[in-house]
Amino acid sequence: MDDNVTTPAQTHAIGVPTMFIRTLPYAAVGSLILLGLLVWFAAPDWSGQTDVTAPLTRNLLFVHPAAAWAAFLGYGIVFWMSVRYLNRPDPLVDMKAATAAEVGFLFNTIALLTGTVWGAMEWVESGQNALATVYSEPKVLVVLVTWFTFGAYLSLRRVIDSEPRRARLSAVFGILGGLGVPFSFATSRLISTSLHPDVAGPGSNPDAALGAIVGGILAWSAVAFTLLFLVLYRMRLEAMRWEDQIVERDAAVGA
Amino acid sequence: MTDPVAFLLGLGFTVVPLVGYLARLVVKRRRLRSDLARPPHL
Repeated sequence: MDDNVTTPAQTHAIGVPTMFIRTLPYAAVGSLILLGLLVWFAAPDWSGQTDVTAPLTRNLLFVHPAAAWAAFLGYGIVFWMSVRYLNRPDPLVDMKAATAAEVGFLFNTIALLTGTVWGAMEWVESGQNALATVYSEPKVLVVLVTWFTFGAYLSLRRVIDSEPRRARLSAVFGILGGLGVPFSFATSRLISTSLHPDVAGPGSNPDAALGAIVGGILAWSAVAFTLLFLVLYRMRLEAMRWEDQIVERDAAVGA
Repeated sequence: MTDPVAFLLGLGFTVVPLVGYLARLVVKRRRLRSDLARPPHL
């Protein structure tokens, strides 16, 4: 049978239709190219706006929130898989949580680094310490704590050899870390000293309204980063399953 | 820090970790695939 022929019933090993899995990398690359074109040709010239102190750096608007979104998507998956694991222990569920944590941590790192640069340009006034100003902002602080929690989660997985113990402890850590996501959303809405603008949802700041074009590109950046997240997640999960298969095979031969 | 430098720094902080992670993952997958194809270790 031709390998390229798929039926609706045919699914990939991780439970997603094979057709979707195969087209995912192309969709991710295509959406990133389109994002670049949209930013280049359609994004406004920020230098014409009076409230923008660093017009070129303002274009990080199409990277930083999308990276944060992809990180939160990963942490959301970790949270959900951790709850599922504690409810009914299953090594594959633990593997999915570990994969989502690793890829989410990557996007969280990108969001923190790009946010630091952007914040240093937009928030810091002369005479202020840039890092102190950026990292004392409530939302940045919450995201930084979440980043450290998932850094600890990933370190924890490296040092514990016993698989069930590692999975159980990781699940507890995953749930604690996952709580950082709603906390992060809440900080800019509940704490008045937050420098992050609320651009969407109830209670959003009308001064921070994006407009149709900028809002559209921002939404597209979230789509592109979501696809990128899914590609990396799928590649890493498959590699993790192969690692497991090799260990099991070698153990069976050695026994 | 000037505006262009900050922008390039931000772009670099996005591209470098992503490409680095992807490259490591591709190398790892290639190694694992060849390990899977080899007979098991005793």
